[in-house]
Amino acid sequence: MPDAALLRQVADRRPEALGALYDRYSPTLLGLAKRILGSAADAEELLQEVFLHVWNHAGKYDAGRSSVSTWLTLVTRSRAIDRLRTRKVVERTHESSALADPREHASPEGVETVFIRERRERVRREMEGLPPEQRQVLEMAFYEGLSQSEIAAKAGLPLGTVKTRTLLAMKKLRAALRDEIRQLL
Amino acid sequence: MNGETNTTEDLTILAVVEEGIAASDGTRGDETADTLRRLYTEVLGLIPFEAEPEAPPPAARERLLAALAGDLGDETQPAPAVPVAPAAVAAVAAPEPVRPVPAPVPVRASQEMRTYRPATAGAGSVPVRAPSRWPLTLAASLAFLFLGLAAWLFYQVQDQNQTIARLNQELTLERTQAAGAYAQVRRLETDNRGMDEKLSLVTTRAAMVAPMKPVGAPPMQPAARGVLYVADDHQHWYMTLHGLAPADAGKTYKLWFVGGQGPVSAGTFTARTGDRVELSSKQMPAGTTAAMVTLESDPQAAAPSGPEVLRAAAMYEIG
Repeated sequence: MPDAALLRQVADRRPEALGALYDRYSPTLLGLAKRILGSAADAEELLQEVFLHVWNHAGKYDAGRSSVSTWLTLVTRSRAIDRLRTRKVVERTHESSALADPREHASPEGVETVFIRERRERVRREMEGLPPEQRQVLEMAFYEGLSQSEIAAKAGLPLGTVKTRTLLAMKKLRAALRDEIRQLL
Repeated sequence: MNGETNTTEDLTILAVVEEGIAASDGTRGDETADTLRRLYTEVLGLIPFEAEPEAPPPAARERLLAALAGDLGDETQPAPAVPVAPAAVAAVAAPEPVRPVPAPVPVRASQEMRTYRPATAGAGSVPVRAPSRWPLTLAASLAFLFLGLAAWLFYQVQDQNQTIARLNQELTLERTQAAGAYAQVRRLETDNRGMDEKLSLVTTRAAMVAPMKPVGAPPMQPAARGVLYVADDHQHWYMTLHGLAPADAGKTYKLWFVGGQGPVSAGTFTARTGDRVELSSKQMPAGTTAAMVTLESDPQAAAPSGPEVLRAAAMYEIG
């Protein structure tokens, strides 16, 4: 079932529809949250918040502004950045998640849908294809929530250079991922 | 952005893009500003897919569904009922018990006529009959009757409200238990699927097996061992590892499948002393000829950068 149809069912207060969205996107959203927050516990807590937000605001989703996938990822990113700023974490610390049963720790690639996996491979390929300096400013803006001025100060670059690299990176990604974007629209 | 209040920093990337496009190329051709914003918003939405995915613990899904069940239970709770009182006794502050309607006092005409004498009555004056009181008595009786009826209705409504509240509590409890049972069924389904996968591996006509052996001179973990089973479709696989020491702080074990295009990540896992690690999946990169386990500092590394712990260099066909 398409994402938009599932979200309409969530707006009709059908928990099984939210469960389906959770199964489809929770690995991606949890990976994003952990990448930003650096803590598995905080990331899992944030994931719960995001899906409760989806449950309570599904009726307000506007398909004309973004796809469901983009809405979910940007809501997750926004809340993670807010939490990051609240915690004033400067350095990311990585910790392994405690697993109660090793058998349950199947590779996420084994449970994700095919189209999510293929999307991940394409996005990774294009991000790795960006020049390192462009990728750096994009990641600082996206994963650390830094403004262009903050990136310029942190990287020791002129503000204009940061803006130019950001623009070039986004243009490259837009051209390279046009097929993927077309599927989302 | 779709119901989420964001700070302006969240729109910084989009603002930079729009500013850059406007500065470098005044005409956008057929694409309007809204279209461009939408396209670049989708680009931002795709960036997170490059991050390493993390499978959430099954308990997280159960907690979410339980929270939804509680939320749905609150929505079906009816509003407290307001006791309905007849309009005629709306001014009564508190209900009164039903009182027996006093029997109207019969009025004896002779008595009534004896007690009423006009001051100027003289011989020959006509006696005036006193007004009858029965309408007043009837009205009072009816008022008491309505009071009693209102009180009875009020208590009936209160009793039904209590019954409804009790039934709602039971319904919420049933729903919570159902959510728990549902989660348990899902767990059992997951376990069943896992067993199905293993059964399919051991019952296929032909399968491949590869021993996982320690690597290095001397080996980093000489006691570590493992076996990789691959089904004849070269997609379903199952791996068991034992003897692995827990990874140091800040490091994690990562599994790689090696083929013509180089190592491909198959995910990270954690090892505990004395425990066996079991991994499985329905997908394996095409052309896989070997598998290896490394110890990585960056769980999101796209290529092996840490020391190699185990390797399956030879695959043997069985069946």
